[in-house]
Amino acid sequence: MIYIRKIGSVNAQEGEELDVKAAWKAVSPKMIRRTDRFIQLSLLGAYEAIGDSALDKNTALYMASGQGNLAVFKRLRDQRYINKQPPKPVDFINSLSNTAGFYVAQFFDLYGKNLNVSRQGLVVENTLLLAQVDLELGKEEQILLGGVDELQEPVSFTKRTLGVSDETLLGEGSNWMLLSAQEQGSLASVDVIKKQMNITGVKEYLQGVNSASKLAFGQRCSKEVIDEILDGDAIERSLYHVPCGFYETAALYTLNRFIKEGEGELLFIDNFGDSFRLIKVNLL
Amino acid sequence: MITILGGEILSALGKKEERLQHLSDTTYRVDTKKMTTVLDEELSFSYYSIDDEERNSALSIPLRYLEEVVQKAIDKLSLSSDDLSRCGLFVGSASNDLSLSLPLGQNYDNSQVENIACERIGNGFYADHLTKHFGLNEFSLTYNTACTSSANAVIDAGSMLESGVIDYALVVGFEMFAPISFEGFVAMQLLSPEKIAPFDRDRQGIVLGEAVSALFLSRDDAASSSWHFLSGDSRCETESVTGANPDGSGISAVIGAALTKADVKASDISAVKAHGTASALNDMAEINGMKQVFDSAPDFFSLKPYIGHTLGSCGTSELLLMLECVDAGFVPGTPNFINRDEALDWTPLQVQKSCATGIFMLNYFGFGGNNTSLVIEKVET
Repeated sequence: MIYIRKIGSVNAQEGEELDVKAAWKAVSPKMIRRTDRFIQLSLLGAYEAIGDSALDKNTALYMASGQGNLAVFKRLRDQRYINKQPPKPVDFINSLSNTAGFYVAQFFDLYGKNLNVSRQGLVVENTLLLAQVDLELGKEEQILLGGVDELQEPVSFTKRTLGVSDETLLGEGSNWMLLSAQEQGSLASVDVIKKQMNITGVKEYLQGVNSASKLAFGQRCSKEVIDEILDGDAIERSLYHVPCGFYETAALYTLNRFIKEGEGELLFIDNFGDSFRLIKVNLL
Repeated sequence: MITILGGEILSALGKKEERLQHLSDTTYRVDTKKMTTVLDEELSFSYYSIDDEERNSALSIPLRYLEEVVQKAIDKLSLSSDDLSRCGLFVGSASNDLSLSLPLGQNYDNSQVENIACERIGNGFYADHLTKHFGLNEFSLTYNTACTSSANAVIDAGSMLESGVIDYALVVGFEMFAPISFEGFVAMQLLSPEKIAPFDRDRQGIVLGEAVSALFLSRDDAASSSWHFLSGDSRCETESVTGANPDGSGISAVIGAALTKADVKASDISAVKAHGTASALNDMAEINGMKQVFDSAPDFFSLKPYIGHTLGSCGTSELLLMLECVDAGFVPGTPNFINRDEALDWTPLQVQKSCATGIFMLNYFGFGGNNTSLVIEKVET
């Protein structure tokens, strides 16, 4: 089990205008020139969590993304195939997804481990599990963990690359939490269940979860999956749902919202195909 | 204790017998030229390609290489399906999503922007495929931290093994020719037109290469080995997004921390696999960093003249080459080193040196300020 000290979120859904550049320019005008929207979105979310507080320089930074900075890749593609030009150096550098982490580290003056990781599905759960292990083993004392995904146009194309239906409303967000192995001064505890499960395992696990605990489901959990999990459960569960457009790291938005406005305990259940991961959050 | 079981690599050096011969003789082969046009001028650069006559740009080719390399490693280590079901996957690659760039590029040529994405694509595509194909444990992450990608993956694989979440770890380093990446290096004037000569006075820059490598790790209670992963450290320095501070401060911090975590002294290190990119400032930063930790020059070498700079793949690819060399009884020399650089003062090994056991350091540095150092050992069996 580890602890959450600070949280911060920037979140928008399809159809909403999110002027990231203007918002970040208001915070740090000097960091606009070489950064693109994905990097600025990363910075803005991290700033929502940390603000102007000073972090220990050895704080590690784990940044997760389902899709990475794909907008810059599309710009590079257009430069190459349409304009027949070599890549602009700034775009080439920004196309390395860890460039966003570099600028977050630079802004907060961090010199610790700086990771950029991705995964098809369950990216938040796997990254959070890695952070939990590193904190529990004492390999890190504090980790700034974020999930960033940017809404890509055209949305019809993006929906297919994400494998979601045409009716699904997309979103984008930059959600961050400051994690520690120490409870003192924390907002909540978080525990990623280390055992991977199938749906039968989730149902069995749920039998040991008390009735006061609220349940939340990830965006890839279909109605059929949720019904099957709840079917036969002896307890009438209280469900926690946060309206949010679809993006791969939206799980962090749900967790942050619960920490901000919820009470008690939350069990977050998410899946990718037949594989399930569970996260327990307890407000302190 | 984290054990390094071994693995397999596909690179310009060819099959094991051939690559060991090259590494032993301090020779290499690079017979591929890549061309690009900048401001109407056609430029030519050496490139270390994986030799494959059936090669084309189809999306299936990277998958075929990945499957081939992982399968060979599994066969070599006689891993069972039960072992694999307890094996997490850590993929390191600097390509910002080859799985997307290939279909997007092909799609643009075909003017079918709306019609190509008939299946899920994106970062994590290859890891997802490998997990399903080989029946691995569902824990996987794909790392993009530039040239430290698969080295960072090794460190985190060690943590997940130590925690007991998994009993085996497959770390894959993966980098194949990507036109936009290649042209990005050209645009930044980082490439040498002919050869890569790390630490040489007249070094002219990087020669890129491609490699696909699969490295298996475990714990000694699950699988023993004479190779151990002692520790590693990864840090970020924010002096410049494109490289380490030439004063070596960032590099000395990471290699000093790696030694501390491994509980070994600098004088315990038998040899250092340097990052050795042959770019003027990076080689200087690396030597300056080592000087702040080592009282005198350790035996060090660069493997990039053998397989090129394989970017995100170099973490596991160079680690595997080093294991093969020490298993064969030597650490390799550094090809193309001719002239001592007065500013660097220290010179790499120029021919192989006998070495069958010891403690070794492997260093990797990348864009985005990422610096990574690994410490491993081979004990007598």
